[in-house]
Formats: sequence, C-alpha cells, structure tokens
Amino acid sequence: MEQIRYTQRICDDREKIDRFLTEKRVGALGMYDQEGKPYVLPVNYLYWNGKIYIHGMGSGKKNKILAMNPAVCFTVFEEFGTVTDAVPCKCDTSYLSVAVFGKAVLVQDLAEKTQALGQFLEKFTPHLFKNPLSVQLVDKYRSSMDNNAVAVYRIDPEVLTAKENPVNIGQMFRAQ
Amino acid sequence: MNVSPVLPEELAKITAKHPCYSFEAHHQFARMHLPVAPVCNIGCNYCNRKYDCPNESRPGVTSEILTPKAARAKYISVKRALPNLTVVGIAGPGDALANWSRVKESVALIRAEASECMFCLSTNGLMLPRYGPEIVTLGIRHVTVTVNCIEPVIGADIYQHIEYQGKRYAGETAAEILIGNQMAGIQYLAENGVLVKINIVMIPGINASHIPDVVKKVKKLGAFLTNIMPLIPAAGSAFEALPRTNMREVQAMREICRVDIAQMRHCQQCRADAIGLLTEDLSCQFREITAELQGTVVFSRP
Repeated sequence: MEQIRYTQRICDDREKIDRFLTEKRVGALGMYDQEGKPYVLPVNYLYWNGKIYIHGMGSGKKNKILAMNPAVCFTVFEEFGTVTDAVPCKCDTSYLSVAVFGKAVLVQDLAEKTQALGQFLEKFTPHLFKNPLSVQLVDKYRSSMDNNAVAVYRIDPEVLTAKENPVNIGQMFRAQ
Repeated sequence: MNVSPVLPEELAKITAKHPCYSFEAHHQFARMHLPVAPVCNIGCNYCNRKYDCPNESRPGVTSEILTPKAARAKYISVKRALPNLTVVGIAGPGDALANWSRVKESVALIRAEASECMFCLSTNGLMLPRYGPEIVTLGIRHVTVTVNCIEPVIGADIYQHIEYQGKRYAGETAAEILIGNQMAGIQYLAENGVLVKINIVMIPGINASHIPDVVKKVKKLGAFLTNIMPLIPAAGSAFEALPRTNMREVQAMREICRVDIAQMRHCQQCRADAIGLLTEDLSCQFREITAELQGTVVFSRP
C-alpha cells in the first residue's frame, strides 16, 4: 500500500487515535460499485475492540454494493481551524484525520450483533434504556420499511493511517 | 469524558469509581480529602497558605489538620455516613510528599480498616523521584501532579522558591529543579501502572499560551488526563491582583488540548478537607466529629 508522503503530518499516537475514534460519532464510508463508481456516505459508527461497526437497514444501495465489493475506506476527521501565515500559499488547516482500510463484513453472529448494537445505544443514548438490548429483540425485529432485520457491518482495520496538523495557538485565524 | 479505552481492565474498573478521574463517577461516588499534610516545600505565587475560611473553597484551604490516627477515625465515621465513599485523597493543605511519613501512616491505618478504599495523592512533584517507588509499593494508583510550565524562565514567574534537600532555591534555578523532578516523576509513575492526572493553573499573561506545550510533554511522559483550571486570585497571594481566568478561555484551551489528551472538565477546585460528591461539599457537617476526637488533633494551622 502507498505510504503517506507528507511524513511530517503522520500521527502515530495510538492512544490519541483510539480516543479520537471512540469519541467521534460520524465517519465517511467509501465504497465502489460494480461499475467502479465511487460512493461515499456519512454514517454513525462505533469503535469497539479495535474494530469499526456501522448499522442500518438491511436493504438499499449500501447493502447491495457491500455484498458485491466489501473493500472500504472509512474516514473520520475533524477540522480545528485555519493556521495563518504571511504568505497565502502557506496558510494551512489544523486537523486530525484517520483512514481505516479493510472489508465491511455483515455480522451474522447474533451475540456479537446484539452486543455491538448495545454499544451503539450506550454511545449515542447513554443511560436512556434501563434494560440491556436482548438477543430476541435483535433476532425478531423487522423494519416497517423493508421488513428486514437490522444490518450490522464490522470493519476489521487491515491498514489504519492518521495525519494531523496540530493547532498552533498564536497563529490561528480569527475573523475581524 | 469516558475512561480511555487503552487502560488495562483492572485499572479501568477502579478508575470508574474515582470521581476526579471519571466524569461518569462524579455524580455517584464520593471522596474525602484528609488534611494530614500541613507542610509545603515550594512557594507558588497563586497560593496563600495562611488563609482559612469555612466558607471558602479552593485548594490549600482547610479548617483543620489531622494526625494519622485522627484521619482514620474520621474516615470511619464519614464512611458510615456516606456508603458511596470510594476514594480518600491527600491534597494538602501543603504537599502530600512534603509530609510523607504522616501520609504513609494515614494510608496504612485506613487500609487496615477498609481494604477496598482507593487512595489518591496530589503533589507538586518535587519529591516524586524520592518517593515514587514507595507510592507504587503502597498500591496508590491515582496521582495528580500540578505542572504549570516546562520552561524554567516561565517557572520563575510562578514559583517563588523551593526547599529541596535542605537548601532553598529561588528563580529559574528553583523552577528548573522542580520541573526536572516533575518530569522524571511523572514518567516513573506512568511506567509503573499509576494513572497520572496533571493539574495546570491557567494564568493569563504568564503561562496560558504555553499550556499546549505542557500538555504535549506530559502526554509523552505517559500522563492520562489533564485538568486545566482557572487561576483563583487568592487574597494575600502574589497574584491576588490578577483577574480570575475567564472560564470561556479555560474551555477554549481545553478544546485545543483535548486532541492530545483526555480533558477533565468537571473539576471543582476542592478544599484540602472536602467531603462528599464533587458538586456537594459536606465537610462542614463532619467537623464536629473531629471535635469529638479531642486530643488526637495535635496540629493547629501553620
């Protein structure tokens, strides 16, 4: 795989990357269809046990594409502002971005699927539900939209890269 | 803030019950600060250690000093009243490590009564190279070190003097010794399984723009969490005329630093004798208990 060329920007702080992936809520899922056309869409995700989980309806374009071509690039990023410079071309963006390369695999194991969905609830609606999500509910639930069970995909990172340009406190742009 | 996913399981489990290290815990679990450490070995420009007021709440303030035996008695009665008490902290009113024998004895006495009790210390870090190994051996897993700068030239504006190995140092020399010992101590503790929190007093015009460098450095040394706090301009301190740091500026600094290291955002800048949930100090309710222990309280405020 091609290495990051701009080596000064490589972030190899694993704790920072793990915390960032744990705290962020939305990532961009990049796929390509049978004709090679790219398709990128933002999705809620969960970073759990070093793996990315996404979930959604059991039918639709994403499901169709992933069934044919499971190879994905999943990107999570945040912009922290613009770094100014005396020269326009040297103005820069402060950011952290993480790219995960791997295959999005449909989770078939009911126990893993239930646990992952439970973790989703804990991340996006902490303490809202008193009882843990049951295997029965995950097994029996069907969407009123397509009569399918919920689909959960797991991406095991084959390659994970991160780049950053930290905030430079004295040089950040502020609107006049 | 959640407990970082990279913590070993056993440390994550106990940390989830520590109100200062876990945001989730601070609504549920109580802590008590035992004021068993009256002596301090450095002079900070933001501190006035003579000040004592039952209505004032900030670090270094206490209404009493306890002997180790009185500390044990107080722990027992507070634990009876507050079953959700999980943590005993030593946070002065001086420095925990400048009173090490009293601190060590207090920890041992309370541990003999309650093996499940978690202990934490806060320190300026000057004596960490000396006592770090004993902290680890004692099983203390949470230590807070106050690091306001990593450059002696800035430190000379924050610290008046240090007392170290029988000598008094001032200016940049003092700051250099202090910073060196803090850095070595933080690294040692982190390498030996202690969760290290770094307190940083944000002082506009003195160290504020330098804070991201401090955060990056302590992160490299293995610290787990930073707590950027506003300056409280204590009456009688060298910084009494400075304004209290605006909380918006503190929040903005935490936002800048949150990418590098997890941020504590729920700090209440507690007294050295605080008791209860972080947001609900009950220490005044327990002062009568100490009065009943007459004879065991041997120190008066310095």
